[in-house]
Amino acid sequence: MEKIFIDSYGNLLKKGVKQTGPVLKLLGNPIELDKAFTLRSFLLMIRRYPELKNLSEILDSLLEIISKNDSVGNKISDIESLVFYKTIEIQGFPGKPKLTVYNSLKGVIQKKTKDLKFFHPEALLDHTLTLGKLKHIVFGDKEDIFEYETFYTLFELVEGVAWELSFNFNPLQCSIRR
Amino acid sequence: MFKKILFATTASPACDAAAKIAFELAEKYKSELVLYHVFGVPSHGGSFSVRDYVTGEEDNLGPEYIEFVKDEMKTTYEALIQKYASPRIEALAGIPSTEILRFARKEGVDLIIMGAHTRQDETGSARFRGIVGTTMQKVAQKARCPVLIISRPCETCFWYFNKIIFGTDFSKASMAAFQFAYKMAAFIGCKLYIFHALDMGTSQAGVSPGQKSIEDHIKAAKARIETEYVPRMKDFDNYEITIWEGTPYVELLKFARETSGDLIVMAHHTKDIDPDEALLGSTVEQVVLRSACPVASVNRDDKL
Repeated sequence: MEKIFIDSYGNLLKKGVKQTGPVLKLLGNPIELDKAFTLRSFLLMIRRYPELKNLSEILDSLLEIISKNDSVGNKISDIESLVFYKTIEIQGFPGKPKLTVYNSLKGVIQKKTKDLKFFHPEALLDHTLTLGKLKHIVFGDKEDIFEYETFYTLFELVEGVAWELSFNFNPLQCSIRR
Repeated sequence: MFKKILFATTASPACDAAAKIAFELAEKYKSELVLYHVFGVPSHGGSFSVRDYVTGEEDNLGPEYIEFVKDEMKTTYEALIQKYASPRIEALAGIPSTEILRFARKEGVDLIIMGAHTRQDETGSARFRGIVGTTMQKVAQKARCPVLIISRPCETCFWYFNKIIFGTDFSKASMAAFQFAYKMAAFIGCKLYIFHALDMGTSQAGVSPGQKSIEDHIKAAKARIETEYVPRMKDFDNYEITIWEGTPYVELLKFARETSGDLIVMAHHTKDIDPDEALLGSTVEQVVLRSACPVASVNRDDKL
């Protein structure tokens, strides 16, 4: 299937041609991100193609929050970049054995991933976002995780990033000045 | 405000944030704090062995083993015990939700504090694992007292509490949640936000309501709050009514972010059904999972 390139301005390009019409038909296509792609690029893409907002309940609200802080240079020192990756996890106990496949958006610092839910979305805007390798966790053993090359679709990226950012509705400041 | 607080814990790192709030809250309100841990299910009636929830391994159940578990709990919370007071520690084998509810009822507990999960899950996988822990879900469903759910370390804390957000869907259970929110706000002397979100996802036949219709609904909701809740607050005037439209859990989270709320209070389910039959409402689940501040789920007004 035709790979879709997403540039740092949030444009979707198919065979090098910028897409201007409906893009829902591209949701199942594999994607490639510009090297300068950031979380801001992701949100620019959602703004540029508003039909993508319908994939998640929170995207509209997220755009609203971000639009209040559009200045460039929103980075935190706690992470170096962002990575979006897929995990396949096989679980044996507790409960019934099961296999789960899910996508995650994490921060990266010194080659280790870091949870993002304690950061404000505004602080993550200008970190570069890359697509990572698939991680395979067997029976909860998170020490020996297998990693594989994989691909991601446009749907996975939009829906997965939206889900992860839905954990970032943190207050901008503590209500009490200590 | 709370004479007896039950902190139901797995004694794992997933409960660390809840532990801090439990100790602080007990200190603040001079409450008796009980640390309660249910550590396994007896393998069959009259059995002398238990199966550990986490490891799946079998252990011999007896007074010595129970004392061992209590000592472990004491070690886990040593720093908090040294900083605050020494709580009563209880441990026993059984099904966690059943034993927590039994203990709370028997001891006349005023508030149950729990972590949202028994394990620290990846946010990415939470959607497939069931959003909140089943123990928490069952306790919130049947408890006769408010259940305070802590899913992440609190940015402020109960000690400095000054903004309470009460989210209502006008259900019968919401009235119990309101009583709790109002009493807390009046007791502490802090601001109470009464919040309602018009659920735009339930617009009729998939047709989005027009601006006029939304405005009419907002007016009607405001009038309902003024009729149903405001008169119950008597002289208390440190409150604000806010009504937004959208997906309820998203709007509530946005509102909590905007106001820097310290506590969200909600009814644990959203429909007027028998509390014993109600599952945790999806709005509460979504809020619990994502909220930066503690969420109090109130089901009944028995202990208010």
